[in-house]
Amino acid sequence: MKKKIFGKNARPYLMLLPTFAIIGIFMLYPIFNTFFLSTQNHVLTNMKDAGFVGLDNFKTLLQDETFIKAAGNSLWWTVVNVGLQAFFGLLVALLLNMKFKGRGLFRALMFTPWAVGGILVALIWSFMFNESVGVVGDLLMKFGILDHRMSWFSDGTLSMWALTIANTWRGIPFFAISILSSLQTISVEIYESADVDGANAWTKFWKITLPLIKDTLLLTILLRTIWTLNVVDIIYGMTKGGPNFSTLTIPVYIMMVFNDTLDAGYASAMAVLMILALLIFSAIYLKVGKYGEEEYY
Amino acid sequence: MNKKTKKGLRKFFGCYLPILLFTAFIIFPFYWFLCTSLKEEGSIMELPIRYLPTPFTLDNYKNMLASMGFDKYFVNSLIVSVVTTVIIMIVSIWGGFAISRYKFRGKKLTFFMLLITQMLPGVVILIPLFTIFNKLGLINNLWSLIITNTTVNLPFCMIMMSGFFSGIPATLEEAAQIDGCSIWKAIFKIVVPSIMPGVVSSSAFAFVNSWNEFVYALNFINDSSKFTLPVGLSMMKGEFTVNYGGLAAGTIVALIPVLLIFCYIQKYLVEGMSAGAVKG
Repeated sequence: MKKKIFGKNARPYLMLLPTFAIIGIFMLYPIFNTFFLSTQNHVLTNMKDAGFVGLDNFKTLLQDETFIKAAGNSLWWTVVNVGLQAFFGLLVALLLNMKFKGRGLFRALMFTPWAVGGILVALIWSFMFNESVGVVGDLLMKFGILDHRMSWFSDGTLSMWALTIANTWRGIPFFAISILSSLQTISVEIYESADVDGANAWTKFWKITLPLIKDTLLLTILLRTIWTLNVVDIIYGMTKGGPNFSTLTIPVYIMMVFNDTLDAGYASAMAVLMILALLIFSAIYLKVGKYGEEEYY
Repeated sequence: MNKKTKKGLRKFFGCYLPILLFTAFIIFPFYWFLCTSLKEEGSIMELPIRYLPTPFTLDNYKNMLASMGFDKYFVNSLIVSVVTTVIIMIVSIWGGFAISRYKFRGKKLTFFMLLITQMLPGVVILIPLFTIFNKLGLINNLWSLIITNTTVNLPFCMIMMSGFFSGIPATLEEAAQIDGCSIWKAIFKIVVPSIMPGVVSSSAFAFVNSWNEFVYALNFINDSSKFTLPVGLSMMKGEFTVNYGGLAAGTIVALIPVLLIFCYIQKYLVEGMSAGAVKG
């Protein structure tokens, strides 16, 4: 009997048991629980009235002006940030793929922001954008771009751009690393035979490089879209969603609603809408982008 | 202009200049906080801005270490990150080995589940986890952070480990088993040592992500003696008055462990990894 339970066939399951237990209890159950909570009145400080309320939380959400504003901000934040990171990440990867002296050192330096936690990014950049002694204002004045200091964090649009610059600083390495590793799989011979055919650098980029890194680019953009939407620490650390909710995104709002009201039902409804939006987006994106049969790692 | 200088100019404008500009953009914030941490409190808030730390002082570091509970935050962060990394490595070595070596029913589903969890926004599980830890009495306990960080980083580390296991032949552990080793012993004594670079880089990912984690730490811990570094430092940035010298010094000290780890693993980042291999 003992031999049967712990036989060779059971071995992979036995090895994966801790994984299943951890992921099951602390990841999959919470996800299902979020969907369940979204249909409940579930305020942790007032559990007397707890119970099923159907879609009431969602109805309230659609009339919540702050939520609508946060949804719009999230869209802007994700599109602009991923766009900038993809553009500059690709540029940096192409540069670092060239042959030049000190390439190893420049690669290492260029990738360092990857290791910096979001809250540290927020602390560093909010000091740099400080109205009275911030170095960004000083540099802009030195280069003659501005003639007076700006108060970055009292204006909604400026705050959003300050956050975007900080987040782009941190996000470029992710793109650069994965695109660079994809670039390195392209064999030199393809370019050499293109040289023989007299192709110029521009043609080589569009006809050879881009098609060959397309799948990597598509997948990186998708992953970064999800992670960028999900950023809480940088926004919370720099503006806390202000001024007047103009930099509030949905994840930050979820956290703040939960902290302020302990209304788990309402906050979960927002989380559910976010998951659904991401799922729909991912499905359409991969279909439209004609994502290939590439391995994920 | 002869051909050689023309080529040199092209190399300069097409390669070196843009690289130098990007590097300056990337490095400057680090320099600026280091510089600020070495300035006297008065000169930080003074105009015109000084681009060098004059007069030079180490007072910010001394004050920070002496007060504000910084040492506690550092130790808490270290405990959370180290314990998380150890658990993740043990679990993901077993799981990664199973996925790379065995054929079993549900293998594809398991792998798919691991990939999907990579795409899940972290804030989605915040509320249910809070209720779970509340019931278990783990709010204000570092274990809540260890469990959460383990859960969030495990899938990625395991996918990585299974990739490393697939890179070496099965004959290794088969030979050990013929010599009378059990499979469990063979994994840790024979197989793991031969993929040490892989073990080091996935533990580095687990460590860095746990060290930097902020959202769960902010929500699960409100007793200031249990704060981790990111939460502790964020609390130092008050609404109106900020001791920027101390904050800069604290940030630099908090950066040291991850930057050291980063220096060590950065060569693995590009070689042998592609999209999705870097989690953020």
